[in-house]
Amino acid sequence: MLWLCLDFPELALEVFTRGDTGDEPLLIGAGQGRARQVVQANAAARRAGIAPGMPVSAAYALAPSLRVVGRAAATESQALQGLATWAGQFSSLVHLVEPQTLLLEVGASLKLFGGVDNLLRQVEGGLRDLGYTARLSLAPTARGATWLAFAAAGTCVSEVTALAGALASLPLTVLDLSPAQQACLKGMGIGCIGECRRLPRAGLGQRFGAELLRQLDQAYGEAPDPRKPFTPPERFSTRLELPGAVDHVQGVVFALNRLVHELCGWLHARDAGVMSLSLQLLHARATVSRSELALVEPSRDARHLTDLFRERLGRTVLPEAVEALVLNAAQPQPLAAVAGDLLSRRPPTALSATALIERLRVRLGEERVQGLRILADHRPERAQGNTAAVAPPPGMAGGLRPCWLLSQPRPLALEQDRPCLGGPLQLQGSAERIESGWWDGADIGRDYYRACNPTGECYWIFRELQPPYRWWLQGIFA
Amino acid sequence: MTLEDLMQRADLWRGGEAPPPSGLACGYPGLDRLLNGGWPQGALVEILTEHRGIGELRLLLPALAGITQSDRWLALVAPPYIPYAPALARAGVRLERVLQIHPGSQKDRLWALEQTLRSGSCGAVLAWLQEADAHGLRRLQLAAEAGDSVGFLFRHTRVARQGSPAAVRLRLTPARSGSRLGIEVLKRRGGWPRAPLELEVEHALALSGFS
Repeated sequence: MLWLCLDFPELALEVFTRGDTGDEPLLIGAGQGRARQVVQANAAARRAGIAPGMPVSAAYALAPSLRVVGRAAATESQALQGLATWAGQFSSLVHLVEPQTLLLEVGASLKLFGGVDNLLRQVEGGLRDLGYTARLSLAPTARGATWLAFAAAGTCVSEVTALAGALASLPLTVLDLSPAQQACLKGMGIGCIGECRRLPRAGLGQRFGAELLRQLDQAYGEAPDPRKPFTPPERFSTRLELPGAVDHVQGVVFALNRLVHELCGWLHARDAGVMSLSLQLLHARATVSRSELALVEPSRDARHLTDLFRERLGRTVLPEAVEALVLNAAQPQPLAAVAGDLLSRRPPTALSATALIERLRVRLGEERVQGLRILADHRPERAQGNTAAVAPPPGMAGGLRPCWLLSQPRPLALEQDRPCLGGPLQLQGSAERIESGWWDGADIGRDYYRACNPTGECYWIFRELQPPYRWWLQGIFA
Repeated sequence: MTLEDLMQRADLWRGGEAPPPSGLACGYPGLDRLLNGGWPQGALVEILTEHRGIGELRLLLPALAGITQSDRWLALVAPPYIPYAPALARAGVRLERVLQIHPGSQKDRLWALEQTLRSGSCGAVLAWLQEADAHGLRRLQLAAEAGDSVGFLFRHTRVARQGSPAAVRLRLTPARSGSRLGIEVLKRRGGWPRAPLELEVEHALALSGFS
């Protein structure tokens, strides 16, 4: 077993800031009125000189544009669950350690991801896309990894034999003990885990209880450490609160990108893609605007999905400023494997045809992007159709056909009993008679000709076989 | 400095030298020769006509059929009439690789055209543009280069005197007999404009058979 520990020290702040493009000072305050104190401050606030423990009124003096929020425990818990869902792409065994830590068993995933370094790089890159900062550590025991992340972030121990050495120098604060017990250990002159472990075991147990011994044994891998694995949800639904009301599409898309990356982690874990997505923009006064996205083919490409939403949102006018986003996805579909073409001349950045069609449909509307097909009918206007999904049946035999068809036949003017269009039309070749459709009430009887006018334009015209024997234009030989 | 000295210089470009042919075969040997190997890939081709219906689509059909048969897509942006499926199928165009796009506004039309050209999945894009300024055409030319696609723009002859970044500009005129087409090369790559050529464009439809 090899455990990767992800600890999110700034989770309480980042649930507020990760949907924001800017870098505004923000802090979490606790307490009431004048006794209100700074609990945590983000980087911008720390740069202004604000430190935890300071009264909030003093912080306001240092940074007038400061925003103070209370801690949102429920949102943090949801964010951690979202992170655990996302982390499912790296490991099949994820543990959630409230309030801000995740444990991933990655020993079984190393080969797939190409070694420890590659795996860590991918995890770090993914967390950046999500908008979180984490302390990472790797150890053969779950508790050992957690301790390393708390006190010596960035330490990677993959051998059991090296674990004792790495843990020995950790401070006692990593232990889950009451403050009184911590003080007592300190009073005994114990400064680090290694010293604590050298004490006589029986006496240590008598004085501090079995809990301390259990924690030490679990960290060193000498006692079992059973935990409940995290089960990812069947449906994806995530909410992101925006730091302030956002009234421009760019800001919404930025925040949406975070959610789409989370979604893609969930899809990776299931080895699936989505065909439909629904986005809700929550405005003030509890109004909601919805945007549904339907795809031609299952996808889990974060860039593609964000691009589609950008096109969609770019064409809508936000009725009000947006305060929160909710992204929902259901029914993940299995993905078809993609085979590359070895000898293709296509540019490396080529967009697949389905991606192109989706992009066009999202912006122009589905009815404006169509395929073509042949229908088995002799009547020219019924021998073709538009289609979204194409499956052409075999065409019917017949004479010469023009490339352009008019949506409705147009009557032709007559001059000395000859049809005219930009001058008298000269009929060419012999007539092609089409008589069909008596069975469905739309029967036709026509003689078709090819005809050219003096300027060289060629038309496909017909004459009715019944009185009044009118002439009509139906196609153009372009 | 003599003429021989000048001829030795590597940085001197000589107008008579043709660039290596890297075109899409037109299906008409005469026109292939005239265009130095066919329709230029990754570029715009402007086809200027005074009237519609003189054979301007038939001229392209052999190349379009070849594109769809090699599994690339053919996109029609803002076609003025219904592209008639039986006629296209008879010319060898695989209909399941044809995409019709009917954008509403001129802005959407240019956008759709740029997207299809740039995507790399469309071998050729046919578009009917009423108005296009030099800036817009330049964008389209760059998009065609990025996507290695041929953009055929059908425009009216009256824009023939305006400058254009298109790699090839042809003016089509109906010849006296209906099935022939006069082709005048206004601009081409690696050569000067040439004398008009008359082509028989009928055989594309007639030969590919009555299946």
